[in-house]
Amino acid sequence: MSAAGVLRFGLLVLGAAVLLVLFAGWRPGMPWQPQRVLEIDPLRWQGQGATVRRDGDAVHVSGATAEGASLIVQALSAFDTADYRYLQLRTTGPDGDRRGYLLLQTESGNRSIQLPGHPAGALSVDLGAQKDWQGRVQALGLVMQPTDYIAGHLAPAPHYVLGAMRFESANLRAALAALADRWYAYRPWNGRSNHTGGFEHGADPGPSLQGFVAALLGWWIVLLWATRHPRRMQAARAAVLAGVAVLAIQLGGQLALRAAVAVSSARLAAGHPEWPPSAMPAMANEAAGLLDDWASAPPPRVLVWGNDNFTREYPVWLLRAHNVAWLVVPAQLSLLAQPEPGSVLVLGGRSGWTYDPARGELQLGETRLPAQPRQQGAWLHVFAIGAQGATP
Amino acid sequence: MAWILVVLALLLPAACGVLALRLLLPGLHPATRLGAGYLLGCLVLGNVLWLAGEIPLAGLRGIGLPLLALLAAALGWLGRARPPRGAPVAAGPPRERQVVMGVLILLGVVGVLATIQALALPTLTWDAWNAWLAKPKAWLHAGAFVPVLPLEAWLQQPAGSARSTVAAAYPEALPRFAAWLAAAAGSWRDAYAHIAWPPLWAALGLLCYGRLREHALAPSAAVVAAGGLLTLPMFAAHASLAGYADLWLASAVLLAASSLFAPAPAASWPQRALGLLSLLLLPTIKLEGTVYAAMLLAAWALFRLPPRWRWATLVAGVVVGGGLFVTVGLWLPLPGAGWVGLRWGEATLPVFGSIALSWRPVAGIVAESLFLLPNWSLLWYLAPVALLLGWRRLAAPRIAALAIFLLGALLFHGVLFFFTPASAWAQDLTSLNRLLMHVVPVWVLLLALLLSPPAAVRGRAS
Repeated sequence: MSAAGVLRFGLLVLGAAVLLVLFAGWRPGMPWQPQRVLEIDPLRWQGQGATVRRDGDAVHVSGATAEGASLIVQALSAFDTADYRYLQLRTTGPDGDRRGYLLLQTESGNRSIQLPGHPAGALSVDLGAQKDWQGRVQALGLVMQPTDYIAGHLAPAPHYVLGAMRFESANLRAALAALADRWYAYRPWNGRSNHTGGFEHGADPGPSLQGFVAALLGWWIVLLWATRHPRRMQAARAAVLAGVAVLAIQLGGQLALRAAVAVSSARLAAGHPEWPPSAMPAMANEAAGLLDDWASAPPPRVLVWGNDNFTREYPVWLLRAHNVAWLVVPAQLSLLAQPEPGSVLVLGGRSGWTYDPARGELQLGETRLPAQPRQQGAWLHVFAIGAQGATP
Repeated sequence: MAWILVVLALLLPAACGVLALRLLLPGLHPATRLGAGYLLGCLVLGNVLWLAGEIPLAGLRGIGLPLLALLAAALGWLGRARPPRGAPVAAGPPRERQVVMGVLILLGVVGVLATIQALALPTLTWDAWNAWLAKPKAWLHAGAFVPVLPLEAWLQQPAGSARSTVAAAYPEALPRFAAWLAAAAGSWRDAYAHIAWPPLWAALGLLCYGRLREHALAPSAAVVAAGGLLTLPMFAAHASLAGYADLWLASAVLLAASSLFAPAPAASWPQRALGLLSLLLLPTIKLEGTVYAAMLLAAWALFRLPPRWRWATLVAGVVVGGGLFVTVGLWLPLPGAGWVGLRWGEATLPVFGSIALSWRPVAGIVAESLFLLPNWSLLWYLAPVALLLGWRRLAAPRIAALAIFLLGALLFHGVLFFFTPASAWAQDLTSLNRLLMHVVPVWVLLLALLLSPPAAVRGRAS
């Protein structure tokens, strides 16, 4: 390699290191090692719906609640979140299709922070970037629960070993580890993933791998021209190709993790038609029960309403086997002059409506109508609607 | 057995599409034929079912599958004497072959992973269960293609005579095709409808690759461009999370644009007919398809003019259109929807009525979505660089026509997101990326042509 080549390569590596440090959130004065560390005592964990067995410094956690959540908690001497920025956690054993959450009890209420990726292995989390990392923490919890697509109880009870867990003040070593975890850890699909390629996670701004790759490419191209590389155009093309490949490999990794979870969920749900995989398994279970109940005598018309978009619209998909539609506003009931005998109103969720059993009357916002309760679930509430329709 | 029938229901229309293209357009690159054939087969069948109206679903499998098998056999027989005339793939230098192999392996892995998810996951994402797959599921259970009405109309209909969805007015080609797939099985399972999406993803890649090869790009350059397109996270997400219409529209826009502006050796009346058929299909996929069809038609009309008139017409069009816009207003037909009125500060739309056109501050979220969130890989970083490096090639008429179409789409998206209440859909990221997605395959085609070795394009640009 020529001297120019060595210089170019050296400057590329230096640029990559500087960019990594900047993307990791380095600020002047940030040390390599933490100045404050809060080790979490492994002997003080207590299980809630899970069994805790201590083995030296490790904690074996097994079992889960009926909903599939495996929760351990511990009270501790209150500490200020402002003193610590990073969580370092090491676990072995939880299934790949479980998600982990850090629970915080603070003086201003309980908060939860989703841990990135599969909870197995070593994990660094930049808590300082989380809006819920605030206040004084009085107690901690750690919960492992199954993916969103299947009912919790279908998943086998987890068993995992919790090793070291500690909070660290701002330091570059943890910042770089958290950056890597953020870029490459598993991100589950959600109901909006078609809108953003599955990476959006709401308003969760973080260091961008795209931005990093683009900046590094830009630096490399500057170096190619500045050092008069004899085949700079060709070298730039190859670098762009490499950048695209890095991002494609990140995508492939995400897809592999997501595919594994999808297969695992489908396998666990197989043989349980009453608990179909869905965007909300608990609601899907209740809908499956209604479909069974209505199989012999289907209601001629099913109206659905809920106080938010999801509880208003998703039950319609689950009940599509019937003549079903959702009301944008309850007042639209007045358009139904004469409900056919047997027609039902399904209310999603518990908010936005009340039922007066003495008067046999349902009130949805300003709309009142005679109705008789038929089935009451946690998510779906079925009422036979009166023959005279709604009275806005 | 059900799965075999579903796979047959998917493959037979695709085979008809591929064989029809082999018969009518033997000069197409084999990859183009496969990609376009799949897309056309599915969409034409969806439209035929739409035209058929309120037919029962019970007999569809018994009649439809044998009919399609007969049609495929007939097309195969008719085309037997016309061996494909696609250019043989020359074995390039070893490094090129390694690039091709590497990209193909990566795409194979992504394709398998997307297919696994499409088949294993329930219908998970919002518009899939609320709009695009709502109709087919309702029809399957009703046993017929019963009318689907808006809520107000449905409430006043006798129970059982119709169904209702929030997207009653959306085009039905895709929902009808999804219903066809499930009808082949005789029951509804989300996966029966989802199965069409991963092959569509592959078809889009084949179409992109084939079209670039027809433009004489080297196999390695064409496969890198197609691979880059397919590994954009938005496209991989739509292949994995089946149920949205955007991947179909994006593929059809690419087919229309690449057919209308095909390179000279491949340009022929069947090629133009393919372009016009694709244009006609656009509004049957999504409402936005009408806008893209109108823009492609305008770009094509411009492209067909003698060179000395072309730029004068473009300038005159911009001046007259701009003048009308700022003075008395501009009225444009939107087939199937009505008239769109545009005037300085105001737009009148068929469904939404009059809306104010004023600046909306969404530049931050748009920039974040294009450059920082992992939706588009490096595409929007590369696009301006490619335009700068290849600006001389923009003078070639076919490339200019593609660029003019993309400029029109940019204007459409810009006005929509920066000047209308649709800015809310950019702010919450519900529509911004999906609308861009519709024209991204054409962007990839254009950028690949701009960055390709000059000889490959110059010789075919006239």
